[in-house]
Amino acid sequence: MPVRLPAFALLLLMPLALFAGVSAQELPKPAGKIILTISGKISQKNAGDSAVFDRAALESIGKHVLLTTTNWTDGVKRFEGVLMRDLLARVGASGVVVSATALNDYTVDIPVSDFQRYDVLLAFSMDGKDLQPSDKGPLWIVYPRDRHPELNNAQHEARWIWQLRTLTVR
Amino acid sequence: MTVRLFKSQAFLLSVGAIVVFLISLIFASYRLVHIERSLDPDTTEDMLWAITQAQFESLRFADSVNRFINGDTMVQQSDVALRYDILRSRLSLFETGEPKRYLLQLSALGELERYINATSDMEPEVQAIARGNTLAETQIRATAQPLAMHLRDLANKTMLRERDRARALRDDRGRTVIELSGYMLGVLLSGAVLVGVLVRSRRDVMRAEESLHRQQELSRMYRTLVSMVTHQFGSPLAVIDSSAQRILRRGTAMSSEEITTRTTYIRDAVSGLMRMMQITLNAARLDEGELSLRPEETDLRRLIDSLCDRYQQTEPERRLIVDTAGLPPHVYCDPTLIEQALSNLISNALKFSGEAAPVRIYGRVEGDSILLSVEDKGVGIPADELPYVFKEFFRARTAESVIGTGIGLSFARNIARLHGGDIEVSSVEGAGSTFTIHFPFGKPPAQRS
Repeated sequence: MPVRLPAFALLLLMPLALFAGVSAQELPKPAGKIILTISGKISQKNAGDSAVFDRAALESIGKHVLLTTTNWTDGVKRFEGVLMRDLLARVGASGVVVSATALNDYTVDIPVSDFQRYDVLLAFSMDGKDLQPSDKGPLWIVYPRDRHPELNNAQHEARWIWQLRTLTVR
Repeated sequence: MTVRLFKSQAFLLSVGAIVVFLISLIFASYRLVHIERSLDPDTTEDMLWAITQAQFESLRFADSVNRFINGDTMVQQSDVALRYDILRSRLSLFETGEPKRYLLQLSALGELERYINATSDMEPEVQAIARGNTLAETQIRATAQPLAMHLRDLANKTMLRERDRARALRDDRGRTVIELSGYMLGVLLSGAVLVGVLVRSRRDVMRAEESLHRQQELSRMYRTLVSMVTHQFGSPLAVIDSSAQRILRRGTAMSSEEITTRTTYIRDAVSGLMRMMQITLNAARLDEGELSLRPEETDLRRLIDSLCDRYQQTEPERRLIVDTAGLPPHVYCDPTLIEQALSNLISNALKFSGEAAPVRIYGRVEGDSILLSVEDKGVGIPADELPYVFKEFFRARTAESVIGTGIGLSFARNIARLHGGDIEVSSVEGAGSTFTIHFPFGKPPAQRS
């Protein structure tokens, strides 16, 4: 019994230790134009109750490339951005659902499990060009739908939110 | 037979029908799945949403321009620029991907593009927008307002088109479902026909086999009959021939006693032959199904009495002991056939026992069976041959000196079995035999199948 208790405690602490490792680095204050605001159940904040990002801060999380077709474009497109998984880890998110809101106030709830299961990209460029607010910029959530045919349905297509402005972790 | 079945028209037709119906079924199911998928309203709903959003954003944009120019401090130039970006973003949606294909189908893309281009062309005016510039407001409004109206019309058109499409699809689905039911019914019906054909052909095969078996049996029986006739009919015919020869030779010199003796020989031989013929004939008729069981209420006591009387008249010197007191007054059986069976047994008993030995005929009831026994003190049957005595044409070693067909006992057994019973024998060689016919009493005997 006295032996088992510390072992058990260690098990409990292990995810916390990992978590601490990922988010050990403080979020820097962005210098450029803020393009994304994350609020809700997050542990890393740099603007009051929120975490805010400029383009450079986003890119520092780690750029990924995703090649896929979309419902709203023609042909295979090359998207560049960061993995939603990495982004949520960076801000120490602990919720199960992310509410994403666009410039036009369109809001959709996305389960965090989507980001764990798939390499969902928060894209800032398409075919080498930055996404513009007059099109689908500055940020567009892109699913790897060519690699996972099960994503080709209305439920998942509604989660391809463009002109993304804020994320709220709940 | 089997090959003929598979080549038979009905068989081919029903198999063909099943195949055709199944193929149609698969195609119709595929079409139904396709229709169900098309009924999925995603694309159109998305389109309606996109169009109304664009309409909404064009009005919001016009509103923000109006408020900014007319000095509303809540609205900044950056807000106008944002509304303009959002509007353009909503409009650019229509120029690629699924929305573009949809609008092409609706042949609405060309006109819409003119509005979209006009909106893009406003960019310098929007960037240079300044408070109090009502001219710019008028210009922007002149583009944004018709765009909103056009989008409204487009939404209307989309909605109506979707309604028509959904109705057409639903009608198509209804028709397909009916078609599917028809094919299903077709498969079921042709399956039923096929089963019918198979059952009928199977029955034909069985009937043909049965008939073939009977034919083989009959032809075997007739072959045996021919050899039996040549063998068994020889001695009575020789008796007749020698007696006739003697009468011919002696002519008028023959005494009346001798004439009586000789003609009695002849008559005995002839009646023996006739009996053999009768038994053979009856047995053959029974085998061919000409004789059938016609059971009725029968007074077995009277039947046995009169049968024994007839034997007593032809052979007055023999002693027949009849004991039928144990029999019920009425028994349900075929009197003609039972009489024939008993007659065969009595005739055997008389043939195979000495002149002085009595033959005992007795009837009794045991449980629910009637038992009719004929007992003699004759030559008996060797124990090793007992199992074969009821076989057609079988004759025991001890019977070799007496003429006979080998049919009588088998015929008697057939009759007993027709009555749902059987025949049994117990015998001691040199001491005599007892044959017993037994059959269920009181209930109608089993019908010949």
